[in-house]
Amino acid sequence: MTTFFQVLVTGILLGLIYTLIGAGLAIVLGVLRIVNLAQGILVVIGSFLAFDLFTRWGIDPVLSVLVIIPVFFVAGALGEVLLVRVPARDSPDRAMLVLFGVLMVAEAVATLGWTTDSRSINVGYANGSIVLGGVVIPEDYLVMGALAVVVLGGVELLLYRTLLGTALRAVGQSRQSAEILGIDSSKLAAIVFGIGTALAGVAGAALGVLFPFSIQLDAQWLAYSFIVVLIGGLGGIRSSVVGGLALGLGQSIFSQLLPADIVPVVLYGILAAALIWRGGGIGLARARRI
Amino acid sequence: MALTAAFGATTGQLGTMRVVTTVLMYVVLTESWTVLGGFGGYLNFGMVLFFGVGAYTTAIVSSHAGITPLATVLAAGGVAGVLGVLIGVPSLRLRGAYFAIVTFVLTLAIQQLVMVLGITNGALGLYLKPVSLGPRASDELYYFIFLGAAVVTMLVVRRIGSSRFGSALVAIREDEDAAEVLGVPTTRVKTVAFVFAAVVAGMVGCVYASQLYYIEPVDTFAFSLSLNVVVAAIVGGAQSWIGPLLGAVATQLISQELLIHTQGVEGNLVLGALLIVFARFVPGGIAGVFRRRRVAKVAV
Repeated sequence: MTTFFQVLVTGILLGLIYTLIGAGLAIVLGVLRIVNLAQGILVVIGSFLAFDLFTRWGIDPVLSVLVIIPVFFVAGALGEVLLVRVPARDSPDRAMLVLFGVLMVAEAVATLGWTTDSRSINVGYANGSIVLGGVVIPEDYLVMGALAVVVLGGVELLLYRTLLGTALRAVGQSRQSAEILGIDSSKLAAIVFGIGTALAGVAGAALGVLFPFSIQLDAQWLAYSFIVVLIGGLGGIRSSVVGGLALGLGQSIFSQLLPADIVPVVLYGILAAALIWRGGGIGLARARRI
Repeated sequence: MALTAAFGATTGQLGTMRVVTTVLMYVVLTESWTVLGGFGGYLNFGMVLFFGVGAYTTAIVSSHAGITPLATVLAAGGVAGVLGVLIGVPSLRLRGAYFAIVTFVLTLAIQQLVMVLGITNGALGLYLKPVSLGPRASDELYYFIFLGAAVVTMLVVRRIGSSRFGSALVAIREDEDAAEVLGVPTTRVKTVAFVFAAVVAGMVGCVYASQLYYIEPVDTFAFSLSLNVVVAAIVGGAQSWIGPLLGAVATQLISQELLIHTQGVEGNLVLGALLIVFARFVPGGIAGVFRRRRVAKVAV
């Protein structure tokens, strides 16, 4: 029974962090219909930035998001204006190809700058844990889970409690109608990309504390973000939470039951099956939007 | 094409010949990718999946049957083709980006599977029997195999481009719903195009495995192969058979050259930058630039 709660708690905390990666992908896909293939490498770069801030200036990863969010937001918004906007007008697939190029360039530049070595961020609370009725909750999971809740809550409030959020959702529903109503959808596209990129950066900082990381992890994070979006759909932050928790719990449960090297096979297999099985369902998910 | 072929045959240096062999291998892969990816507009990010499965089929079949690896080329293409049907039939109901995602994810899944299976010997990989020729003669053998394969694939893709099947694919790219309404069996057409690329990639994987006579999961299922094919097609222009040829030669000569002088990271940097530039500014690729110029001349 204790094991059960143990798996449950770890799964939920992990799931909240996975939600961050998925939410970044979902908001760009939901509003702009563009698959951001660079999501995975952006997460890894987030981890590296948090690592550098921590080792050079001793800035705690939780505080480093105050640097990472604005930097990533500006980078994402600039990327949209300079690279994605024009091909996206032609077709979302061409924008995806451009982002594929961005992925390759970012990966190469990151490899040149940080090498392919594996690193980890050893914060003071990395090895601590809180015991609650026999269930051991690792402190770093708890801190990063809380960080994820705060950031996700912030985006949720932005989307549903502000005029900007209403405009963003309007663009997601119908870009043309939103334009007719006087919404500057080009400006909003840049903002959406900025938000998606910033979420990837925060996820990177959080994951960098929990797991050792290297540049090669980008494919895994990209796949995980797909899983979150496919399970949860594109109904905003709440959908991403569903997808993220499903992934976190799934991983935590499978890790308990199966040998470690089989777990990724099962996860990717489920993702592929979900994609194919929900073939029509994804079309519907697209229609649901943010 | 003739240029690179002549280049490889006349200079005669082993290093150069190996570079040209790799270039030709990418010509074959990119040409076959273009049928679905260029004509049909469905981006397949999983070429390495079929390539790797072909390579492993060759390794397993040739060692069990005790025959030379190259003799298993049909088995490799067949297994890759069957896998293509199994993946293609359900996943090609998906539109656009979702299809690309499935092919990407399945690559990761199958690579992980090969890592843990007993028959593939996990991460340790498998050894094959090398052809019993001297180093020089065996390099020439593989060079001519890929040269022949490149010519045949180009002719086939050129033929497809002017056939009903090719027109059906173009119709799907332009407007899939309209094509469906007009009676194009869209799912079947897309699946056939997908399986064609799968079979070709499986056969290429067989020759690759025979050439290297050692395969293991990380390099044999390296995502960079899928990526190089997509970049070559986009840079060259994926609207006709000529684009993949130009693109594969241009991008592979650059990245092979950089690979000799650097560690490969710079090669990816250049390929990525090329992809950004071409997808952002030159939608038709190199071939598209030439075509536009020709059209402009006619107009004048």
